[in-house]
Amino acid sequence: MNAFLRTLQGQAALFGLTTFLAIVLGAAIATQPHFFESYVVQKYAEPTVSEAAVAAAVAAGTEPLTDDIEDSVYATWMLASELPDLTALSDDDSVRVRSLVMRTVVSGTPEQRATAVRLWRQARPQDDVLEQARAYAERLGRTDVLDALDAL
Amino acid sequence: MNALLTRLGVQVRPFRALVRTFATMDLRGQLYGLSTGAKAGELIPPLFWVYGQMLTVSLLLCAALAGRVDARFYAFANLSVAALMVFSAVVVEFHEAAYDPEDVRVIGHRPVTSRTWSLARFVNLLGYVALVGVAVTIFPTVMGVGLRDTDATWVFRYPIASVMTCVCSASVALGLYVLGGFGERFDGLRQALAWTQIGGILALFYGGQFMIRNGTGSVSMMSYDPPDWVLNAPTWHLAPWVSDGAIMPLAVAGAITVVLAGLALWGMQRAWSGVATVQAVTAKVIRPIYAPAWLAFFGVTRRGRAIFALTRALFGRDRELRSRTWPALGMAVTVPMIGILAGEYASPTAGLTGAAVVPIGSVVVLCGAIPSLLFNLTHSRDHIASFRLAPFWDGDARHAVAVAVYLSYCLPLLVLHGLVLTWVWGDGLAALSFSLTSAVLVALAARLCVTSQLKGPIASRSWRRGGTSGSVTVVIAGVSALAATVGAVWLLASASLVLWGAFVAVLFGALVASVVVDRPKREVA
Repeated sequence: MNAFLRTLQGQAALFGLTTFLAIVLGAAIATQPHFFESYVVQKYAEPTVSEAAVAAAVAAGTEPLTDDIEDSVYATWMLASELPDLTALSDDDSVRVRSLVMRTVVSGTPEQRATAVRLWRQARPQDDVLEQARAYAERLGRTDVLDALDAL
Repeated sequence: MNALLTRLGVQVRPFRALVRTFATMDLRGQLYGLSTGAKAGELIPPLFWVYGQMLTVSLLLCAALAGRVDARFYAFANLSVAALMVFSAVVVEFHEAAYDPEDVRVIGHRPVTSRTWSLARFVNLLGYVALVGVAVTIFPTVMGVGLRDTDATWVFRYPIASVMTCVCSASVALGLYVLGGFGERFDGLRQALAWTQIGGILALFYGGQFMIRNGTGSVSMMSYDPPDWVLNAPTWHLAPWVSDGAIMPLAVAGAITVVLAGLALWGMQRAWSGVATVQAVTAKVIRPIYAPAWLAFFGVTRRGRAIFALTRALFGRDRELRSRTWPALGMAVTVPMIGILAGEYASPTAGLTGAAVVPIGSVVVLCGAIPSLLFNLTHSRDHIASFRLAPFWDGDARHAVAVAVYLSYCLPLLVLHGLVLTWVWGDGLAALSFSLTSAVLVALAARLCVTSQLKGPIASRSWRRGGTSGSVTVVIAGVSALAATVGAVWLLASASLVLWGAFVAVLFGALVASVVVDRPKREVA
């Protein structure tokens, strides 16, 4: 066996076998998309009483949303049984919330994405989502997305 | 087949013999032998390990991106990695796979026609590029079908794009040699690129974990809002063919591929056809070794300067030693790359944030690499350097060797890191202060490794193999833990200019003290 493997034919067989096994492994993995989907999730820490109070104050527009509290405030909103009313947010704060929502849309579970979009719709119902989608599609040259937007 | 070869004016038996010889040379690639640790005569040859490493890179990338990015970015990332792998493979094994001017000495006097030689070289090059291309194409082709936004046509579209990418990349690598000559000019580049697939595995293994654990999803966000360098990459423009079946990118890429491959083959053909011409043999000039006087600034004695020069010469002459040095530095290069790409690389002076930890972490990782660098140089039975330095092993020699490692590898990396920081932070002063602190901390780590007061395995003498396992791990762990602690203090001290100044002063004082304490006592005549 060793003598065969030392020949060029043996080496070619070794490469061929490895390639075949790689194809089998790739196909096996490709049939398990749920395994990878399970890792695409945002983790929110359960808020403390004081964090919940801060989140309520930010939602009411009485306290600004800053770097150090934005994660805990956003987690509180996302975990709340009823989504907070964010219409009182200042413009600066709404920009922050929008980037947090975008982050969830990209790296959250389908349920988290839906919650984030509902949260944003509640905060800024007048925000023109279609225009944002158009700008994004134009930047990336996604003509298919632009066509779909035109159809709307 | 034989009739076709004869009709082409090719000598059939010499052709077959040459193809077999070249294929054997490919399998036993010397530089890949150094990077994989596989000897040429082993049952599993170096090229097979490289093939497996490239498959691993491809698998890790596909697994890291699955479910997180859209089909276009998935195609872009895989095509880019394929281009990088093929480019590095052709550059590294160019003399085995494509053309070696030294071959004329072996075959120049034999009755082999130039046409036979050229065709054998061409077939071998084609086979080599195809082998590497297959390694980086299998997983994206098969696993890409499982993405949310792809269908079965992906199985046909991705390989077509991958073939074009691989051919273009190989052509660029060949063009590099055609334009730059075929001699030893690119030896340094070849040695560095021999580690490409291993560096890729490291980057993807840790980068993938970073991607999964990163709560801010910055890597995923980058894929959905790509930076300009991604939007300008050729593979980004080819990706719509794979993801959406757009014809125009395919047509443009096809035309570029034909032109590039044609130019590369034209250049190679000129080299291959000239193989029968006996070339003049020139003797190698060995440069003299200098021991610069300015080393006194680093506390190196007159005797130490000679040892410093010897160490530098050993670095220059021992290719294997240099090759073994790069893996230790791999993490120190990988961490900043991942941090910068993920947008998590902020200046510590800008505030106490998670992003400010990463640059300090990269310096800590560099400190942790120093024990391996020193151990390889002074204790490994695999390198001649250990035997050359053994007779001089005292405080002078240890310090000189530490300074040589610091100036040869650590300082250039730190200077490069400082330039990158200036670009990323857009604040030259912050980058300069960070780099100065880094330089002192890394120098202190190098000193600690060799100081005799600690009685560590590097300061004492014990012969070992390898530089990453055995007793050296104790030193690596100790230096890393200490550097991490000092790094934490550094992070806290960055809040105020006075605190930072005091921190640097203490570090510098410790560095000077470590040199003075370890200085050997001179006998008075």
